[in-house]
Amino acid sequence: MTADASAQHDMFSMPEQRSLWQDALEQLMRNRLAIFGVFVAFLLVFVSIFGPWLSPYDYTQQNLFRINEGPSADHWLGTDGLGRDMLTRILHGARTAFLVGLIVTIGTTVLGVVLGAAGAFLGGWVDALVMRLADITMAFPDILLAAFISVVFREKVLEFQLHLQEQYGWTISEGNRVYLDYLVIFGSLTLVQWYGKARLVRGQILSLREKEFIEAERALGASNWTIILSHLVPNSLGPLIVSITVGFGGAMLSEASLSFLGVGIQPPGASWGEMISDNLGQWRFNPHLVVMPGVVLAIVVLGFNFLGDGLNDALNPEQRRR
Amino acid sequence: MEEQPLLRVRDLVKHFRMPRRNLLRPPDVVRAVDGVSFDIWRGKTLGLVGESGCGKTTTGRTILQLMRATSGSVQFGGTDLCQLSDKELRRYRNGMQIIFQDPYASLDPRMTIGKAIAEPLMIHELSQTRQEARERVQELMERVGLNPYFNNRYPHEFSGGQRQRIGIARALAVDPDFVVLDEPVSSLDVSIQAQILNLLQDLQDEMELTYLFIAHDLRVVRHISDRIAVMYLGLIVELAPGLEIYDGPLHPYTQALLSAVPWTDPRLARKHQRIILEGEVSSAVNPPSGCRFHPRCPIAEEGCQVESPDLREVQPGHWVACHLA
Amino acid sequence: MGMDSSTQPETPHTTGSQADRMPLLQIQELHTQFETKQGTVRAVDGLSLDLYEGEVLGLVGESGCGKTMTALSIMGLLPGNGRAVAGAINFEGKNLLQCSGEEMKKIRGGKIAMVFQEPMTALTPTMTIGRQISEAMEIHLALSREEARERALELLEHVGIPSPRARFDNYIHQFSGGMRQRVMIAIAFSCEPRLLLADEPTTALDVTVQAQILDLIKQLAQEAGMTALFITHDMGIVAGSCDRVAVMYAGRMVEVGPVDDVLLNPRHPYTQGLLGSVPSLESKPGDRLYSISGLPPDLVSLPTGCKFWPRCPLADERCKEEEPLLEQYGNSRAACWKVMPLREVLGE
Repeated sequence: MTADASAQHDMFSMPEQRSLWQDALEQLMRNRLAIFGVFVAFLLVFVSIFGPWLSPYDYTQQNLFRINEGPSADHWLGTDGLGRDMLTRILHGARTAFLVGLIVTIGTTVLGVVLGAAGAFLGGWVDALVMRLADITMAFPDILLAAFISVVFREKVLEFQLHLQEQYGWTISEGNRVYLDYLVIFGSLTLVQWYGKARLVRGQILSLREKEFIEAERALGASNWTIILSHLVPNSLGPLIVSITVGFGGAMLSEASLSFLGVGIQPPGASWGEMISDNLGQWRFNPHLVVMPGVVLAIVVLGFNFLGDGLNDALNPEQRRR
Repeated sequence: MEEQPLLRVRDLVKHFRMPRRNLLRPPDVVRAVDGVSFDIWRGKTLGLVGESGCGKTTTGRTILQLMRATSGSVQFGGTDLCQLSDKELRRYRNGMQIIFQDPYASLDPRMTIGKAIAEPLMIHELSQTRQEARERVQELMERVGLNPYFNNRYPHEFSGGQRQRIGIARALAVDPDFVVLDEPVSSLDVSIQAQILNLLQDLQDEMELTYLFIAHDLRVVRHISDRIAVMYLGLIVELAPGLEIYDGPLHPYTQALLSAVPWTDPRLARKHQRIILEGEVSSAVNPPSGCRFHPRCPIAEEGCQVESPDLREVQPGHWVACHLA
Repeated sequence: MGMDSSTQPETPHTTGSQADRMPLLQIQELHTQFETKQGTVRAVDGLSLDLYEGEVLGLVGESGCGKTMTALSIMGLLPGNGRAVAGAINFEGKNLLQCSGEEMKKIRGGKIAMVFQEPMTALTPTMTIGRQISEAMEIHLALSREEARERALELLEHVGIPSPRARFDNYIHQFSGGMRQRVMIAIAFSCEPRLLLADEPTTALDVTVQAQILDLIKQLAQEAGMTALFITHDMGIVAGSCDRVAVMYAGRMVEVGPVDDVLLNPRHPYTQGLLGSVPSLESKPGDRLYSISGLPPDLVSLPTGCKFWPRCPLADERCKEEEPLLEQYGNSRAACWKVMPLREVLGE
């Protein structure tokens, strides 16, 4: 649709100006799949904060008399092989998934934007170095590399913790050991997943810089900062936000994979991946123990992907009013 | 013409280095603009014509310092723009503006057109208050024939002609003296072309604008220009008052160019003897020796291959770079 | 001014030489439509047009007027969800709209060839140009590979490609704009088609190259006695290259006739506007151009009555309500209730 703005058209008064973000929000709220994504994201945040208070059990509390049970009134989703409440562990797994998603995403975004923008703006050997690093990282399968890094990293972290213990007498309680696992996973996944965002940011900046409308800005006398803040950022933020959202789901999935392989969250810590691998032996007799964390993981990752798609459309005005 | 010209371009040169293809050899250099000089007086229009790759667009960008000249000078109201730093230049930018060929590419797709038109006002701090900026945007939109009601729309919701009006409104927001029009109508439909050309003419009369009109369509250039410069391979080959060049072109390239113009009068089309040029434009990396046009020139003599002709005034105000003219 | 009621609108006026010729291509009430989210786009809306053996007809109009969609309907190459929903396109006793995919494949490139605006998108980038020409001839003319190669070389030479033997094995990106268009012309002419459709063949080219290409097409068509449909937005190209011209607006034809009549004495206000929009050699610098106000209509919701009335300086109540049909005026036909000579419109 083209707006008929010919000279002889009746003049209306000029409406107030709206921002791209207002328009985008309105657009996002019209997309059903994206609303599902928003709902999933909010639920995840809520559960990961309040999860422990929602259930009467502790996620490590065992009851060896009631193992591998199906859903019942006291254990809505049944119990696992050690008699721990499944629902509680899934709620706790949400906290792991969310924290990993959040911190890995922040880590990769900061690393990716800084390195990508540095490459694009500075060019020369900086750019070459960043891109070769990205190529090298990309040449290995993500999970394999992450598993390798986490094994090496875990050793270092444990050594360091021991060192602290000997030197200063700092000890870590059994319940807080899981935070060491988090640290290991954050580190290894950030180191493996930064390159996508770096390449994206670099490509965006390089292609936008050649666009005629950026030249038009320079012709108007806009300073570099104006160009970066009002044109480069809004135009590259769309794809970046999409990549962040989808990456969030991806990071959760990678954490689950690492934990499934046994190099991520260690028992008794709760992670959806670790729960799947833990209960895999029960697959034939109690499939719900494997299916439940799997389904939850799938729904959450799907929700983030939908949200990413919705944001992509919402942040691109050309997709609208078509 | 006793008055000082508003714009005085002298020996403007812009060379581009190509990426090295062979480490052992120096990189190729494209001589896009290779020594161009002309003046434009206040309130007048100079038409710059030539075929693609002749350097006319680069000339326009280099004058505005969107690309820095390799050498030469651009005197704008007495200041040599080539000597200014980027920061100093920014303050001069409200005096000179550009309107681009492609109204699709020259607007930020993620900025509403109201914001886009207000932006130059903000950059040069031309409006003190929000309300003042708002009023100025409304006034500008109305002036270029856009309905201010649509200020919240994004560029893709407008047709090519309307987008070109948006581009014009942005350029005029800073109240410039001089505007480079880089093929402003060549991507538009015929009837819209006429609308935009009329608008540009009205604006020039009202605001005493000075235009450098870059185009390849010789019908349009004839219509809008006071003087016309013809470029070939980075050099001006002929420069004369508009009608004079059409009535009596002196350079063989201008003659060929004019003979190829598809005039809409079928009688003219039949009567006209077309001069069909042999071959294609030579490369700007290794331009031919002597007169750059000699390989395609129908009247070239041996001397043309050796000595390159200077632009000389053969009649008052009519300059041509040809040994034989 | 006024309507010449003695002539019948049904029989197209033809000059003496054309009177006894049968049309080679006959488009009858063609409706081509696209389904979009906004509704049905009427790209071609009831177009009737005859193309006579040996003539060059110019089809003129602005973007979105349906000129390209007319050509693609003839070729059976409508993109995506486009469909010729009604009408007939008769060519050699067959209605092309009812031909099967197989039949159309034989006709395309064989009997009817098309030259596109952008050779880079119309030719295969991964096949040498020599192969592309000779392959068409192997298929349509049943030539052996060797024969096809020989003829392809002849053709390349004929369209003005220097040293064709050397360029035979080149790819399309190795040619300049003008040379690419020559290659495409060689392919179009390779199977000696009876009808050539040229869609803005020179729009992407420089002025001097444009003149070369137009002359080449004209010369080749004359040699082969070929009929051609030239689609263009530029009245200047029509003036120099066509015998007859048809002007399209909003999917229909508003004026048709011999080039001299239509260009020198346009009847329809739209044709007058189009001609007035192009600066002529007579206009003085500083003159205002005669411009058509407003924008072309939205093809999803066309205006009632004459489709041009919202932009027409002469429109009155009747124009808004009743759609005018093509009527004969002198040698040409126009669809307008207000037909009058150009002089009066310009106020001379």
